Formats: sequence, structure tokens, C-alpha cells
Amino acid sequence: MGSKMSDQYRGLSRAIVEKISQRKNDPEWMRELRLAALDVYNGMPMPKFGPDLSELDLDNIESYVEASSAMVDDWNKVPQEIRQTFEQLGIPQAEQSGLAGVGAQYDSELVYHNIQQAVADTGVVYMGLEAALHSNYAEIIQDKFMQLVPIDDHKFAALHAAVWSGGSFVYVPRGVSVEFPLQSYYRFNAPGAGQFEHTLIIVDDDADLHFIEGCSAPKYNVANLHAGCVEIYVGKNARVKYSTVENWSKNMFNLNTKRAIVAEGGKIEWITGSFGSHVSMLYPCAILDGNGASMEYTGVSFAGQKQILDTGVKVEHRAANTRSIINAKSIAKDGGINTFRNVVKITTDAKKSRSFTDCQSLMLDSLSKSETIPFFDIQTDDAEVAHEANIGKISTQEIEFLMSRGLQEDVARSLIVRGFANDVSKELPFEYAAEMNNLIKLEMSENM
Amino acid sequence: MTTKLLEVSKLSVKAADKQILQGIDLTIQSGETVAILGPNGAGKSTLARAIMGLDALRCSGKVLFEAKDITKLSVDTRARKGLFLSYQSPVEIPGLPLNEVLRAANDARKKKMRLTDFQLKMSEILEELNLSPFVGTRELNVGFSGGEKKKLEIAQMMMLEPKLAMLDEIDSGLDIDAATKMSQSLRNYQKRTNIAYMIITHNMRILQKLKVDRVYVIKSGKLSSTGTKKLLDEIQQNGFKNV
Repeated sequence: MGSKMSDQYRGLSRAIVEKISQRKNDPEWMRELRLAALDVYNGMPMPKFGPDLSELDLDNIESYVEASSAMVDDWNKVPQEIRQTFEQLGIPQAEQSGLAGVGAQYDSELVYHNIQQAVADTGVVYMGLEAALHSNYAEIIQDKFMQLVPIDDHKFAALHAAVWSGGSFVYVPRGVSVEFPLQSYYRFNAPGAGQFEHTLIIVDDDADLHFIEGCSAPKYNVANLHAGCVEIYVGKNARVKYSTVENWSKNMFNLNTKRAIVAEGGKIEWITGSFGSHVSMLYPCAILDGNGASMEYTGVSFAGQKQILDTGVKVEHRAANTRSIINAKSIAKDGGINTFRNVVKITTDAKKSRSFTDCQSLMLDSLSKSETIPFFDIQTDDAEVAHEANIGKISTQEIEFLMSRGLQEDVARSLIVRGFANDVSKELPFEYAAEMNNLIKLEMSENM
Repeated sequence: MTTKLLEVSKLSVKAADKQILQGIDLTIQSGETVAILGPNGAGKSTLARAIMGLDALRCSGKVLFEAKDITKLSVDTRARKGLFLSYQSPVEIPGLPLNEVLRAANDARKKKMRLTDFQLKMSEILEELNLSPFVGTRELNVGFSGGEKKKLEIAQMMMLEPKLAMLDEIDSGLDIDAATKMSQSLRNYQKRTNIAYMIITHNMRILQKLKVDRVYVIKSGKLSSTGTKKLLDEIQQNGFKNV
């Protein structure tokens, strides 16, 4: 094993938080932030909405998994077992073929981080967040870390802030377009542990970035917890595309927080494929803070047997002429439960703003459940807001048609579901689209 | 060369309490073209669906294909054995490109085809049918006109190379010139492959370039007459009254 499990990090106490902070050689402000977050965490109730989290025994979650190796920028120096895991996931190969940089985290710690020299030469910074805390960017980080997502945002944001470990820092200077995506991959291997990586992305005015986040974990019989946090600052007329394909094992509680703030004329695009996990609560949020800022969300979630995927989008229109488009698809099978919550807030300053939501759910049997819960808070009278939702089943005509072309029934169903999710896969780079299609195929072939 | 390809005997189809088809006997040889005519609602489409294996629970009788009993076989198995049905109203499947359907159909037949060969073959077929070379990457039947959808059905037929194609109202939605062109394409394809056609139509134009071996007339679910191409002229003159 590349990581070491021990009881010294089990549960959550002041001593454990101090120990993590010390091990990471935190600056004093970070140590204080962690401890303050711990207090907030202890004083905060569990979320009052969404799925039942009582199976999640926080006193028994390993909040930190010690790494036995240091982070490197050469795959050959990554311990063999860990390297093989990432090779099976295709990460080093993808780095060769079309990524501007790659970060790879194994449990609590990064094992690899590298950026192509040509990209680094344009001033783009892509490094481990912990390393960045001790670099020239320390002040920027102090200024932005857990500001977009305050430590008292919700209980798991507080937990994250107290024990966060690993994750990436990205800075794209003004006017720089990063031609190829950057990718951080989080692999979760230790049973009964928590993963709490933090991603901080700052894209300056007129710059452009595509960031890909990949996640996966093997299956264990004990509950695992993922409570990462992503904070994205999008500058004036800048564009950030944030793509995620999450493939968690089905014992995972995925309680992740993602938030972006977008300046005048800027744009954030969320592309999300949510697969696996036992319970997911994931609601990417965008704050449209400047005139003409926009958000686009395209997501698909797949809930199978014993899975509850509670997802959604939050958008706050704070300035005039802001736009948001939400295109959500969900698939439920074998008793899986999908809930989609979208919260659209349009403040008094957000004159002539527009928000469109389209939620489509596909139910593959009568055991499964799908629900759409929209919430609108509109404080101007000239906003244009539309919401459309429908829940459907695969039509027998579609299956018949494909079968009459010679496709077996299960292949036909799987193709129809892939077609349903096509809005998301066509936004992803080729390898990811292929991975997502493959995940759909796997989910479809999994029987009760 | 002719061999008995399809042999249908005493085929009946029931829906609820209504008898839609009753005791149909029909034979088609390789390389033949058979026309199925009849008034609206006579059961022509039901016949094609029943041979394809759709609505199997409501069917009785026997279907032999290449001398093997396929009556109990599923739709997809029949398709892989070489049966093809072109639908009167092809279904739209959002998000699913035609090429993906065809590649999956090839996979199901364990037919290995390199991507470049697939694309080459597809582009030749699309050119023959006067379709844009990009239709294969578009979502299946989404946003196409009625006539284009029919051409796409024929493109699928040509890609999958069945032994018997049942074409249900393949000419509806095509203008006069396009229908004549389609008729010619079907004939050319038949000459190359020895495919058999069972053509359900109201419009003789699609038969124009084809060598029609037999004509079957179905009325109220029953075979009311069988004849040669001459029967077509009779129907064109006087309708279905006396046939």
C-alpha cells in the first residue's frame, strides 16, 4: 500500500486537526482557520434537507491517510502500485496525448503534479495547493481560500475546512488561453477514510481554461466520505469550463461543494457526469457578479440500486444582463433515487436577467424514483425565467426499432440511455466521453 | 438462382378481440420482388411486423426463413438472420447517432469492420441515395423530413445487407423524381446482392424500375388475390373493388 491507515486520525478532534496542520506545515492563519472550522462543525446540525445521512458515522471516518511517498513530477518516481492504479485509469497516457497538466491524488495526498513547460511559460500556474501555500502565491491563497465557500456554509464545508488535504491550485494570467485542459484526478483507495481535497482556481480577465476533475474509488464494505471543495474565480470576460466525471464506489457518501464567482462578461460552464456513490449531495453554484456574466450547466446523473443522487444547481444573478442555462438529465434504475434541486435567485440589481432550466428524467423501471424540486427567488420584474421538467420512460418503439436492426435488447436500452446522456458526453473530451459511455454501459448491465 | 427464402403459413394476428390478419400464406424466393397491396387498414403493415417478430404474442401460424422455423425467435435474432423491416414512420431517438446504431448492429452480427471501411461504405451508400455525407453523425431521424427518413431506412438496409427487406410505404414522403430514383437504387442493389423485397405500397411508382415477381392483395386481413404485374394495372384502373 502506498498509504498508511492508522487509528490516530480516526474521527475528529482538536488534536487530530492540530496534527494534520502540523504535518502539513500550515501557515499560522491556516491552522487557525482549521480550528475555527472545527468549532463551527461541532456546533452545526446536519443538513435539514435531502437524503438520510445517519449511516455516515463521522466518529469512525479516517480524516487523514498518511502517504508513504512524497509528491513528484515524474511518473517513474511514483510508487509502482500507485502508478499502476493511475495507469489503469489511463491518466499518464492522457497526459501524453492532450492535457496541459496533470495532478494525481491518492487518498489524502497528491502523488504527482506536473505542467507542460510550454504552458508554464505562459505564466499559468498549476501546482498542489499545499505547495502553493509556501510559494509566491501564498497571499492570493490566503485572500481567496474558503471565502467563496465560507466555513459556516454548511456542516460538511466546515468539516472540509478543518481537515482538508491535497488538491490543486490553478492561476491563469490575464489574456492567456490554455489550449489543452488541465486535469486533476482523485483516487480514493483507503477503506473507511475521508477525502477532502481542495481545488482553488483563479482565471484572470480575458483568460480561458478547461479544467477536468476525475474521481474514482474501489468498493469496500465500510462507508467512505468525500467532502471536497472547489472554489473558482472567473475574471472579466474570462471563461472557465469545469468538467467532472465522478465514478464513486457504491459505499461512498459524496458531499462535495463547488462554487464559482463570475465577473463582468465572464462565463462558467459546469459539465458533470455523476455516477456511483451511495449518497451524493452535489449542487454546483455560480454567483454571477458582473454585468453580462453567465453560467451554463450540463449534467447527467445515474442512480442505480440503493443509490440516492441528490444533485442540482444554484445560481445567483447579482448583476444586470446575466444569463444562466441549466440542462439536467437523470437516469434512475433498479430502485435508484434521483432528486434534482435547482435554486435560481435573481436580485434587484440583476435587471434583464434570464434563466432557463430544462430537467429531463429517464426512469428505467417502476421501482426507481425521480424528483425535480425547483426554487425561484426573483426580485426584479424584468427577468425572464423559464423552467421545464419532464419524467419519461424508454419507449417500446425505440427498443423495437433497434432490435429490428439486430441489436439485443440490453444493448438497445443501453444505446438509448447513452443517447439521452449525449448532451453531456458531447461536451467532454473524447477519452472522457468514452469513459462516460462505458460507465453507462456498465450501469445498464448491472442487474439487481 | 432461386431458393425458398421465406415461407409464411396460416399467419394470423389478433389485437384485443379483433382479428387483424387471418390465415395468410405467402412465399418469397431469394432475389424476388413481391408487392403487397390493399386498402388502408387491411393489415399490410401488421403482416410485415409479424414476419419481423414484432407483436409475437398476438401471432399464430408459422414462419420459415431459409427452411428454418423462426416463429419463436425474437426480433433481433430474426434481424441477424437476415430479415429487415423499413418502418412506415421511423422512430426518432434523440442523442443517438445513426452510425452508432449501425456499428452496434455490426457488432451484434460479430461482423468486424474497420472504421475506415465502415465510413467508406457509408459514404458510398449516402451518395447513392442523395443524402448528405454527414447524416451518419446526426441523431437518428431527429430533424429529418419524411422523405429523408425513408432514405435513411434504405441506407440502413444497404449497410446491414439483409436477405429479405420488407419495405413499408418506403415511397411516402418522396417526390415523384425521388421515388423513381429510389426505385432504381433498389433495383441496382438487388442486382448486386440478390436481396428479396417485400414492398408494401399504395403508389406504383416505387415499383416502376423493379422486376415485380408477384403481387398479393390483402383485404380485411385476408389474402384476396395473388397475381403478376398485370394485377397492378388492374388495381390502378379500378381500385381494389374487384381484386
